[in-house]
Amino acid sequence: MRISTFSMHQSALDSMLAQQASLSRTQNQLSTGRRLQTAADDPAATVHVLELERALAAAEQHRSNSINAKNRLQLEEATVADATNVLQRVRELALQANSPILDGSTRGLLTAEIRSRLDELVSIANRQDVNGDYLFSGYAAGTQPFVRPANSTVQYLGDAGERQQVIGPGQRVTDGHSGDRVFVGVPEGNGAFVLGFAAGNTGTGILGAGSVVDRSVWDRGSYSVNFTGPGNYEVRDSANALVTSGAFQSGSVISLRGISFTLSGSPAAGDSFTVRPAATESVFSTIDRLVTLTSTPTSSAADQAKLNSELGGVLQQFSQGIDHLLSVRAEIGSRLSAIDVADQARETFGAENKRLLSELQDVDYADAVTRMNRELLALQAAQSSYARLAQLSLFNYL
Amino acid sequence: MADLMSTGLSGLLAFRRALDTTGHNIANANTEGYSRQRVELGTREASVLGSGYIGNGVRVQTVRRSFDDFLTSQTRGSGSGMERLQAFAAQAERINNLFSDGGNGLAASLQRFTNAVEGAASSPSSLAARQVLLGESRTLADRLQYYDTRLRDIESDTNSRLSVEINEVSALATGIAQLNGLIARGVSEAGQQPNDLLDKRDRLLDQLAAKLNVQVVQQDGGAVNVFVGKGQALVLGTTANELVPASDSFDNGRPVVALKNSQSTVDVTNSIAGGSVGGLLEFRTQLLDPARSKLGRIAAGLADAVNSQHRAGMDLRGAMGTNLFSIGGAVAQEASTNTGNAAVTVTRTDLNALTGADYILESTGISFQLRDVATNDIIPMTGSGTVLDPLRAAGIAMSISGAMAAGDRFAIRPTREAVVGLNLLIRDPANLAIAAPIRTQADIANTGNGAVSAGQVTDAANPQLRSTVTMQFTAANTYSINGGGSFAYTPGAAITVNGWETTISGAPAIGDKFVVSDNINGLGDNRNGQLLAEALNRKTLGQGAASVNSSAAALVGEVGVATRQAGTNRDIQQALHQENVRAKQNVSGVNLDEEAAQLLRYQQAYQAMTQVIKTASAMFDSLLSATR
Repeated sequence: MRISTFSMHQSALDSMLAQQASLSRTQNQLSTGRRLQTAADDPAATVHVLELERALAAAEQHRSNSINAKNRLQLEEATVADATNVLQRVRELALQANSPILDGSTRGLLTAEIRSRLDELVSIANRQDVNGDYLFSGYAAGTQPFVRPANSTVQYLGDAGERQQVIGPGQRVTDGHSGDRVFVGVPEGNGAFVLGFAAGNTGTGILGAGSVVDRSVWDRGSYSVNFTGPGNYEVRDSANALVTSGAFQSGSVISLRGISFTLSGSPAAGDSFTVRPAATESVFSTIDRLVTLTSTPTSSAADQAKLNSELGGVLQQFSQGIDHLLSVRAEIGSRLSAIDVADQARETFGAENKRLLSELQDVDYADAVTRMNRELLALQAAQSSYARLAQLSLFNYL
Repeated sequence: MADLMSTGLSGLLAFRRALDTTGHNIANANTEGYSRQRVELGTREASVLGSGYIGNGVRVQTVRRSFDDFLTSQTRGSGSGMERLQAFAAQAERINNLFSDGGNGLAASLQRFTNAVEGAASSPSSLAARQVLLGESRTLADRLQYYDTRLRDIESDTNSRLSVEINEVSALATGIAQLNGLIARGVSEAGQQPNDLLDKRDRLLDQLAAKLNVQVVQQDGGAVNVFVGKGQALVLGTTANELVPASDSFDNGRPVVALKNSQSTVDVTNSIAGGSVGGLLEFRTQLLDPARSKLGRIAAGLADAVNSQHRAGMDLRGAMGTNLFSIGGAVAQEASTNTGNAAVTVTRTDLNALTGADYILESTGISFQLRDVATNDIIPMTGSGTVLDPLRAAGIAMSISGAMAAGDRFAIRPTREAVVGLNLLIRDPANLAIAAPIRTQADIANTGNGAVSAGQVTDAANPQLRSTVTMQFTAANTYSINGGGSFAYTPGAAITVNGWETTISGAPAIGDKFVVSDNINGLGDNRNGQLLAEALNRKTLGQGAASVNSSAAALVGEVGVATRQAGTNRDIQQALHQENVRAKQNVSGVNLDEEAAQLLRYQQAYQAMTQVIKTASAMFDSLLSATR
């Protein structure tokens, strides 16, 4: 076959240029460490890389959200623990106040400490986080949640909002509780019903603890237990219809509509005790009630009985409050552990994503170096063969 | 009469010509487009003697160039194809490189915006986090603007290249017409082929084919006619028509290819498929315009998703959120050729239905027709075109005022100019609406175990949105709203009032109250921020198939695929073209070794002829001396 001199040179040049281009590509891959230089190198892998990078960036934000949530929950946990301690101390004080041998001045000292504990509890409930947001005011983070107007009980000014943080794809954790959940929404009494004294009782009847015996019969109604004589009582509902009646001895159990409670002492005729469904009471109101009780002088046996009964109720309420705070703390604990699980999942997922990302876009050095050597060799061979071929010419012999 | 001297002289002359031609070949070994020439020798007419025919020596019959018509036209065609792909691929690579800047790319900017939204949602009362969000919003808008500006730069660069190339075509055509004249005269006057002029014209034809696809038709008498497009004559014998960059009827300053002769100017853009002009035209309509429109669709999707969510939120001051981004509207561009007085107003009505394509609305005189610019498909429309009943198709609505004459056209660009109008509208970080405008609360005195969900806004424009609404249970499974009505209670079912939606679950007791109220002072709330962070991942585009985020990644992928394809096709075409060039060179090119051998051969022949003359001379001398 006839070959023109021009095309001999040209094809040698073309092949050397092509080899140089691929060599330069390999060199570029080696120096950047990237297999994919532009989207055109591997469009499908590029789109995959973009998705992975997006997931990694999102995970980075989720990590920071989870740190925020963790910080807030830990702060809340410490705060609730502090509040629990205060309640426990107040409960001890209430126990002391329940002692019949206390005189007025000692009771006064107790009252003073209870008052200062109340202030402490309010300030705990008004704690702020690092951003200056109140921990317990719901969405209204800039509003002080608990205020005490003069001569009145503590009021909640926040709302019921509970903020969530995104800590993973589609995974959220609530990063706190609203103040009314924690401090206001404490179930009253035994959680089902509340026993009370009617005003003007003259006997010495003392109310004990009550409980629900049969939930299917308990209808969450209000009832009054009226003593028609010292040893006889009747139970009437809110429409004043007679529910039941019976004879009474000190310490006997009174049962009605699936609940029962003990009554001891000796109620006088005309005395009345109330049963109403439990609502909620704030811990501050409970302490207020305690202050009122301890600062009211007892002069009669009836007063003493009432005091004892009501202190019993208050003590039960403190137990409720402490249990309630403990349940809040348990909830915080479970949220923190959910965050830990999410953190771990994110780490694992992130490591896997990074491995995939590297597999997709990073150069395989062993492969690239081998390729580079091969290409270098090929280019050298092309160059040296071209140089020798180009020297050949018949004109050299003319 | 046979004569040794004359025979020797004929040989001297012939081999002299042969040596001249060989020298010409060697001299032009590196001249592009040169075809090697061969002297064709023939015997001179013999003298008739009684004893027979006595030869009279040699003569040069012609000088022929080594040329293969088939290989030449094949090379021309493959060159045209290669130049087309080369032009396309080179421009495509620019877009590809633009979108491939990894860490700062479109997808990364979108994700950084989402992260900043989540950061602000994580600490909603923090002005610093809000400031970061504003910064990232601005960066995102700037980034989209940057891409659009660079695409427009590439467009104007493509346009000016096109103009230059089109003008070069005219210059080449003029050159071919001139050479036609010279060749025809050479053939008629000398009766021989003017080889070097033919080579020159072939080279010009090759260069012309590198600009655009042409048909070359050989004429008797040596001239060629050149046609472009669908048989429009560019060169007819010695007259060349002009190819000019005319203005697109929709975009002033966007060149289209027009052929201008003495009578008229004809737009031949659509029939040009090869060469660098063809490649640039194809790049402009197949890759560049769609890339801008798709980028615009992403921007429109972004603005719509972010704005509508942002409007459903409440800012730090308790006011409802406003639009975060402004966005450019849909454009209807009138054709300069329109004769009617109609004006078209086009609006985007449904982002989810937008395809990212551009359309042409044309009046047929009785009805309207909408065609996809890229595919030329006819898109079905509904409506009559009035303001109250606009023409609707693919997520846009068009209303026509005035009268459209038959054949009048409007270019409908739903998203092309969207990015141009993309700007950040909020400057004050406190105006970012991270909170929801409403909150829900179960009354503290409730005795049942009913719970109310946090609630969400379904219609931010409802004037009663933030009014307090109390739902109170009048029975175990009925409740009243604001003291009125009786509604059946289904646990977990959505309750929609005043533009918000919430659910109540559990077993509320009679008398239990649930209140939805204004979330005033709710600066610790982040519900709207979280919805905002999800906005870019919601499937709001492409008939629910794509999110803003996935569209951004898809755009990068699409450009990558197109570029890769163009690059691969170019490489294949290049190899094919090189093969054709080599085949043609193998016929027409000069081989120096061959020429050296020829040189030796003709030199020897020449020397032999001098010996013949010497012999003739010696014969003559001996004859003279014999008679002396």
